Amino acid sequence: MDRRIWRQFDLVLVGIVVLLILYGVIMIFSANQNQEDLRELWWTQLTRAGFGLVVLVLVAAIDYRYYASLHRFLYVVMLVFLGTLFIAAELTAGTLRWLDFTLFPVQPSEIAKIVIIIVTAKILAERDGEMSKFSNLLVAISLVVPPLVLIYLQPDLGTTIITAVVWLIMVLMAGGNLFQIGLLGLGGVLASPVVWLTMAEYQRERVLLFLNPDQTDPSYFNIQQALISIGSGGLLGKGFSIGTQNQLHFLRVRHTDFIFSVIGEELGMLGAILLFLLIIGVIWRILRAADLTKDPFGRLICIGVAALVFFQSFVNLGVNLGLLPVTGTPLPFVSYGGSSLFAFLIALGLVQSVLMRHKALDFEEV
Amino acid sequence: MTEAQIQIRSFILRTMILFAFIVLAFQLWNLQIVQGETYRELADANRFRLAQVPASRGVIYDRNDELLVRNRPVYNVIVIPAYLPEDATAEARVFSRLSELLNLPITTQLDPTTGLNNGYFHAINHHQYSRLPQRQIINPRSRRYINQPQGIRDAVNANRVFAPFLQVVIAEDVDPIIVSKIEEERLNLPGVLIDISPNREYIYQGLLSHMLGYIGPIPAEQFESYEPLDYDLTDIVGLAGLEFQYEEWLRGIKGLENIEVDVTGQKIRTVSQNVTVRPGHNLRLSLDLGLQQATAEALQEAMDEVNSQQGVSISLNPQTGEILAMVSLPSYDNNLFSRGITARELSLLSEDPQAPLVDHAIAGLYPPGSIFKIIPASGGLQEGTVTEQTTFVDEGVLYLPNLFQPDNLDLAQPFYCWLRNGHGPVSVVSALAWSCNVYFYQVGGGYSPAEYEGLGLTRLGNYARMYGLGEATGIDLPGESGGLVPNEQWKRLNYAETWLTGDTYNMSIGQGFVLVTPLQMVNAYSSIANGGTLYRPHLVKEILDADGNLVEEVEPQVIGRLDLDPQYLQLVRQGLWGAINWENGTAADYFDVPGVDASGKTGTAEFCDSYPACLDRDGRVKTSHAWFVTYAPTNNPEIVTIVFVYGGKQGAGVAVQGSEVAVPVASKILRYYFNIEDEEDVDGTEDDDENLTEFELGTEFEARLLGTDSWSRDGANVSGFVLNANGEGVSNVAVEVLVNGEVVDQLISGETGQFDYNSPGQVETETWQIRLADFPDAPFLMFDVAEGVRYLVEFEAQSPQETTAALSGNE
Repeated sequence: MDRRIWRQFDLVLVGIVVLLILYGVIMIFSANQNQEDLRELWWTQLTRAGFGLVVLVLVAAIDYRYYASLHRFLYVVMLVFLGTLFIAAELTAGTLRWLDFTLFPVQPSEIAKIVIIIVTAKILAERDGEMSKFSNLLVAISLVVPPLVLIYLQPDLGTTIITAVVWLIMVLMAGGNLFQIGLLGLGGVLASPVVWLTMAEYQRERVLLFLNPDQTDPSYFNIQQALISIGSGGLLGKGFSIGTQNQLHFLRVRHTDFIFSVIGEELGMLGAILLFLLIIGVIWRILRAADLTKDPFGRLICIGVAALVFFQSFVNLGVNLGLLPVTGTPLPFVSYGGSSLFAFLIALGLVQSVLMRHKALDFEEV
Repeated sequence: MTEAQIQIRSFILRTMILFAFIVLAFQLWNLQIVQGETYRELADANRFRLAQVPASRGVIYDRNDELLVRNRPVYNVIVIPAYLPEDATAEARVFSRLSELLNLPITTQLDPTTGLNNGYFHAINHHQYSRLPQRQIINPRSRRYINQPQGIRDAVNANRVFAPFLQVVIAEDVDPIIVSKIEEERLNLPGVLIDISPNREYIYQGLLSHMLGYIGPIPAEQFESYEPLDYDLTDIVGLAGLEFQYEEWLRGIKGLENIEVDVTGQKIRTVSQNVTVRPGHNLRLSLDLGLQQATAEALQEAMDEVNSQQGVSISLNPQTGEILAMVSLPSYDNNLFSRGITARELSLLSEDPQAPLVDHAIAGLYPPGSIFKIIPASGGLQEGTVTEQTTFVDEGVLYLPNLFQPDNLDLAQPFYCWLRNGHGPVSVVSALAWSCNVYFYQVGGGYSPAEYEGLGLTRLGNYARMYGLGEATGIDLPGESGGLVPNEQWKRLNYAETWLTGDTYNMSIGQGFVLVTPLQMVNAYSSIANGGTLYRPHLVKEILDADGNLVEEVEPQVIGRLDLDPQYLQLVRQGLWGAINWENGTAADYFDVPGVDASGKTGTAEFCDSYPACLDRDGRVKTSHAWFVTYAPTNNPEIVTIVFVYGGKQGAGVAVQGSEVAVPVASKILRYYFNIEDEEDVDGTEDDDENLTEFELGTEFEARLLGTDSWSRDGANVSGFVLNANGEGVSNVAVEVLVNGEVVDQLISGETGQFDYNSPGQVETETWQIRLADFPDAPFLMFDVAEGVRYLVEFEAQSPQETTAALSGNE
């Protein structure tokens, strides 16, 4: 392996991500400091982040084009995993999103997001410049629908929507025809009653809750407490580790889905805007990689990862700010949770792998 | 796709992303800056509470500083579902450890719906639980294992979806050893908390229940009267006894403070104190716990001997009105109320025919019988209708001439003395000592053939009221009855009949319509003992604050004085002295307090709970209560004691005599009070068991099975009489009942010679044998009994010689 390609490794991107992770670790510490059984979680998150950064470098070291040849295999393995999960969930009559790997628990739908990005990127890159053809659009759709259905049936509506939006952004960025996609969207709207009927009861409750808040419901309590936390933070916040909503546990799932509310309360608008800037910085650095890459497969991978970071952040922040219904989506890099953190660091590794090889590609072509 | 197209789409993507973040930032600005103030107020409203600090309730001591009631901490184990581990396996571990420690089932449902769950919004994902019937009604006041028959998991899951922060009480009043184990394992038991709440503990349970009463939540229908006194709906108040009477002293003053709470409502810190809490005051009673115990013991023993179901004994200090002991039996355990009584327990208590919840010492209304005779005696002397020297000859019976045909002796109504042969010439002192009915008939109602006027109803009533009868004494306990001193108008209103001289006769010996409470009678005798002052009886001597400083001392309070010339009072006292100290005084044979000079009066009050069960074959009342009231030492009395033993068992009658039943109880009480060694029991009890029958050894009997009757209860019954040769009932004869050859019971014939035996359960094929235990040669009865049959039998003495006159009626 050419050692010179490491010069292209984007240290700025990794630096911003490390800042985001540390920001998260500090807020996890604040969120759990007076709850004995969760007090050590910040340390767990920090060690996982260290481990994850090593994984990032390992993934970066592998030539991303290698995955292109493997995309059929990856796709089938992903479907098998999601299918197994679905059957196991049926048997245990509960929602099962985890498979217990011996090393660490990984949520298959997190890995599925990355595999879908790779496979979609491959399909779209093969049809570079021909995506305005309706038949090619149908191919791309037919590939993404089976995994989406399996994720939806888990049931995990949040991941389904996020993955679908990521796919949509990738298709558009690969030259998809807006009119055709608009037609499909119309079809989707017409099909929505079917979706509504197949939704799990709790999912319907949440959508209804968002549309028509019922003040006695505990989910409403969570959202209301999140809004109170953020709102009461003001411009400068109440101060690190002394936010009342957070410390007195009015805010629930503080260290995971509502970590942004902790930031909003304790560090105020300034802390929140800082977080926004860091996330935008990550997205921009990934898009920069996309711009630099001439290889459509690599470029679409970068766009897919950027879209994933963007939309998942948007959904999480939107829930925290009361703009979207509750979905149970973690904030990338910041929320506590090994599975999500690993998935995003692996995705960043892919971006780095693409970035490191964009020049080499040029040379080959010349 | 051209380079230009890519750049345009890339630019659009960046613009969209930026736009999305601008939308988010705008909402952030809207929440934090525009509505910031509102949300800060909401956040403060979340965490600040104006909280009451409960004042600990005052405790109660006896006169020797013996603690009678205290506040005991009760430990409850609580689970906050939201704090349980999110991992289902870890949660199951918590439940199984709790189950082990508390010995409670994890679940009582047959098919537990378990599902692995590790997603977000743990509680909501368990939506299947919301379909469970919401059986779990959590009532923090009910002191029960409330999750029964539910298991721990069932209780936790019942409300988990809707109220994940609601505290679920898993076990109440948990052993402190287990509590300390849970505290030690706190780190392994997330979501499990210990809650401490005070509980009132009545250390001596039934011994002091009527006096102390109990506490409980304010009854909803009475809340209006509590509200102006600064009570809350959830407050615990005194509902009976001293707890009720001294509520305003015992409750203290609740504190008010601003506190910061967390989401579960647990206090984190005090922000400011608005009203400082003041604990309730303590009470020191005049009660002597030791005397109370001795009294209860002696009374219960005597009641058991005669199979009586109710009894009262009160001792007080005649110089101040301080109550030294006050027992009403049967009693109940007031701890049942303080920890939350179940409906079943309550209905058992309130439906008991002996009314254990009622303090019979102050609320029981009974005919006083002969202990009432101090009233005609006092009235006669004071009004001059009798003097010390006036004598009436008692021939055992007084014939009251018919109102319309005074000369027709056949129509005259006989009024008997309890001693059938009569007492002969009787003066006021001996009339009291011997309890001569015929004397008091005439003092009270006059005797027209002798043109003797008597006191008459009005004056008799006035003197009864002078002794405090017919009116509550005002003791510091709720629920006191006033009793009844009847007058002509009363009888006309209640019976639509004219008051007759015979009614006055009956009233003169404490029978008929007059009704008293034991407390009224002991207070009346207290005034005789102390030389003529009626004090208000009271239990609380001192009110002390929490640091032991005297807040209020209860001074003796005079509620009346006897309008009685000292020389006449002295005559009454002589009569009462004679009842105990003369050889033939009514209490002389049974009063046994060596070294103490006491005075007193016995009483046997006939009553009838249910006609005609209480009548004997001659149609005369055979059921009677036993009374005895005494004061000692005679010349400077320190203690007045009254003993009352209820005579009637439901249905079947038991006659108890004042002298023989009540006097020994009072003797035991006085022996305890004057610290005199108990040397009875050794020879004393033997006397009781034997030699009481008046039949001579070798008397011949005839045994008869008179017939059968239907028996409405389970099992079979045999009842009968022991009669002397004249066909009169003879008491104190031992009758043995043998079932299939084995002695199962020994009965003692009652006042009218009656005895009664019920089989303990249903009978199948049994052969019963009835025989006279002390007369082995006498014939016996033997018959096969059948279920649901009552056998009527009779033993009649055959000897031609006269037997001693039988006891019956008033002494």
